[in-house]
Amino acid sequence: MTAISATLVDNLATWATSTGPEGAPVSARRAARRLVLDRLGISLGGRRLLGQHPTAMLALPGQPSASLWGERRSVFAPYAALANGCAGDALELEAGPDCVEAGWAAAEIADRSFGDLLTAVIAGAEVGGYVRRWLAGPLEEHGLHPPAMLGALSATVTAGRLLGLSAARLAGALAGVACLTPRAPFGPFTGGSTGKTLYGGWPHFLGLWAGLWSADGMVGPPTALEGSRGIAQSVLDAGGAVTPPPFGPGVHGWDVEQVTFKPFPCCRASHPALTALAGLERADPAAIREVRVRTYPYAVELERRVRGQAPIAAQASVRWSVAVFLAHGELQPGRSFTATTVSDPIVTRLADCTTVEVGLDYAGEGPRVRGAQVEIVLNDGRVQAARADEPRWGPSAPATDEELRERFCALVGDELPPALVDADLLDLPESTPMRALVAASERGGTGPSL
Amino acid sequence: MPESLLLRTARRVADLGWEDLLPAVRERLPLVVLDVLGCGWVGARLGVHAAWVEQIVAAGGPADATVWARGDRLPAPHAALVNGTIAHHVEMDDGNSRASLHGGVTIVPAALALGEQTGASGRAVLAAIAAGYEAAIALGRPLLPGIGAHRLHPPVMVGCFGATAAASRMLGLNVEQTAGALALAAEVLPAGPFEAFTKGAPIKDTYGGWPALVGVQSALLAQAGLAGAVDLFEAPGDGLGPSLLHAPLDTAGFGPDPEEILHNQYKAYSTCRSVQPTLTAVERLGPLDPDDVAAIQVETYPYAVGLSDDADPTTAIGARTSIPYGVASLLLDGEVYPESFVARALADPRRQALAGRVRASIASDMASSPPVRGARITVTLTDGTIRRSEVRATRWSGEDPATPEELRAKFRRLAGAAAPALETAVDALPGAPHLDGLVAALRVRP
Repeated sequence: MTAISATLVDNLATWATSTGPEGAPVSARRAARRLVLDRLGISLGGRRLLGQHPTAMLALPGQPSASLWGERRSVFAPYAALANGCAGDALELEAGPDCVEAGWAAAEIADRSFGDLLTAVIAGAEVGGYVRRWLAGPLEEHGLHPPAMLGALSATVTAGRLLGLSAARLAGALAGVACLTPRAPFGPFTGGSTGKTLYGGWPHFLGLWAGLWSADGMVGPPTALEGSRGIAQSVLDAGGAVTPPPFGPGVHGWDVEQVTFKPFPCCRASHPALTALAGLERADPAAIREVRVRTYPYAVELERRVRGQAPIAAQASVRWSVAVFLAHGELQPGRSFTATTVSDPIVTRLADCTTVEVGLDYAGEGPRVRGAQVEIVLNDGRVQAARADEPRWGPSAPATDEELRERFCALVGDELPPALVDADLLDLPESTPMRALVAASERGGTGPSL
Repeated sequence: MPESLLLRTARRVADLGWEDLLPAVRERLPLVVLDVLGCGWVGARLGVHAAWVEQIVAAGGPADATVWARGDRLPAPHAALVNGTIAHHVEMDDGNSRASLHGGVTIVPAALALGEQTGASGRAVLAAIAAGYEAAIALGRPLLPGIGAHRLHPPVMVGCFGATAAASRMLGLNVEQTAGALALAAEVLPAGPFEAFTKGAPIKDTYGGWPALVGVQSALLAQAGLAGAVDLFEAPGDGLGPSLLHAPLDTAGFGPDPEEILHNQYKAYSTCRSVQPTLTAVERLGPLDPDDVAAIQVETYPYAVGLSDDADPTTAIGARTSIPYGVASLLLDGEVYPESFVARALADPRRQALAGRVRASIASDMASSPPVRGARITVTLTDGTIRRSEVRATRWSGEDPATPEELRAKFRRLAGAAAPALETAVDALPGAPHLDGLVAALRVRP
């Protein structure tokens, strides 16, 4: 008898539904808490600072339902995941794999505990990290937005585990989502379209649908990823079946622990330059004659693609992000990138006098070094210079728990329901039922609830 | 700078009314609707994806639009999703080779769902459907080479544009909103790997319904104020051109064509289009006793051979890309209709044995670019007799289009007992002030 080789979705699903994710170290569970806290805060912050996202209009009653964060209502779960994911996307602060919004909705549906959510997030992050290492580079070369395409796989694993799917059903869901996930061009971001914010929620929408559908047999082909007409060959331009790299969970360290949070509300490509700037004494914007940024090639390539100066395009641009930072001395979520700020003559002059080029120190072969050197030439001829070979909150100096807590509270605002303050997701007992947490948040307070 | 393709297309869509349609287009539109309704009814009769449909129905939500052949009413995006998916299963819905579009299962469900929700007139719905076809083909044509090169399924992408255009028209969006809606759809075009089809995965059937859902939602989001990037086709570094063609897209030669729907092709067989030239050639051979067949050699165009070689003929979906399975079914059943793909047929040893005697290879004279979508058949009978047949096009395509009578006969066959009510209601659409008559017919069970 000849053994049938398991396909990649089989392998991923078998691991994700096993005790493997439960075996992750305490540090991984801590990292998962941090990710949940941050994504929740960003979504609630987006709702508070930017108003209701249009996808919330699509979110209609239906079963199974889950909470629409910040709106004190439950809606059909895929739409809760969609709207919750989109709500904070325009803040450009979200980090890490797309696990939390789909996972939260699935945890509510299946009446799971906070600990179950953490385990599922670890699983989703691990699968997402594996696929990202394999395909994100080629996706970027195609001008595509890797998280928008690959995020659905993380979301499916997270949701699927919480929904209690078997390995076979989760494999089918992963294969199904691989068929419906978008190729997702980067162009909406660099073109400044508000539609770009769909990328924040669509992976969760798809992931939850796929998880629900697989229970009724609406699944994809087992070779959806590596097959001769599958997704990977289309990304790698292979023209036929491809051999995936080995999946070794935890081999490179746990992916959820490698999430680096975003301190600045703009594309990561700008973060090294902004980190360097933050180390300089603030100059009078009117005294600045020229700004020179030398950074890593992908950031320069993105800069070349930016079209127009809509707020979202400015968030994709090193030049505009630097200009707003220099004009205001900081970047505030929901405040620094608006139609008013990007049309401010001070900002536009600074953007016009900023150049972005590849820095030789960052252009070599090998792993990408996300660094930048910045020179500010003042009108009197003096030059301020700084460099950052890693963005703030990068791998060597990650955000502390306190910094993340502060950021969460700042985003959510001072009308936070007491129950949510008391809960403190960084210390919440893992046995806490998710439905109880949501219900508690809806009592008291006038501001955002879950 | 010239206006972007999305804006040019939106300008046509947003302005298109019944009075703007060519007489031939007006005449053709009811047949377009009937063709997909027939597919929907036979899918429902076969119980396709019954548990999945129940799940979507159980999800509930506002009762805005009707699930065909069931009568349940769902939110418009969900009704469009279910109707397009079930109708697509049998692979007899229409096509348009200029952009590899399956407009019937993507555009029509979106237009009918929103037409029902908004209380639109029959003419408004039909005009929206025409707008959908024009937009889908205008936007799909420049992308088609890139989609094919990546071994992806063009209709699932192209159909999103058509459904979005139709939905935008139904919602009365202006030019900018329509362009924005089309751009939103472009963001979330499903990757649609062909693997789902050749390997017979159930999700492939959503390649009909998912674009319908995307279309309705994109239009609703644009109406709610979400703005798409209307230069997404032309964006040089990270628009749709680089993502699929590795180069910026020159859209200068593309745009809506008012005759587009007249180029539709209809399917006489329940298979992927790639199998259909072969089936046409086999039919031309005339009567043939399957037991007399020793071997059949099929020569056809490369794409068809590649799909067939990758096909899993043990599944109802995968078998529809298999040339050997299609040929065997035609010889055994005398036709290739949905019944040739039910579980009993798939497991039929006689069919499998006959398929095992069919070989497909590439015809060098059909390998041009674009290919000649033809087939050459050589049948060797058990007594040594050789019979040959060759076609350069599929039945009901090109120089040999389906007649209205043939399309109505196909519809009646597929829709069964529901056919009279549906046919009456659809034919009345050009004079109908609303869709109530059609909606009543849509509830008729198979």
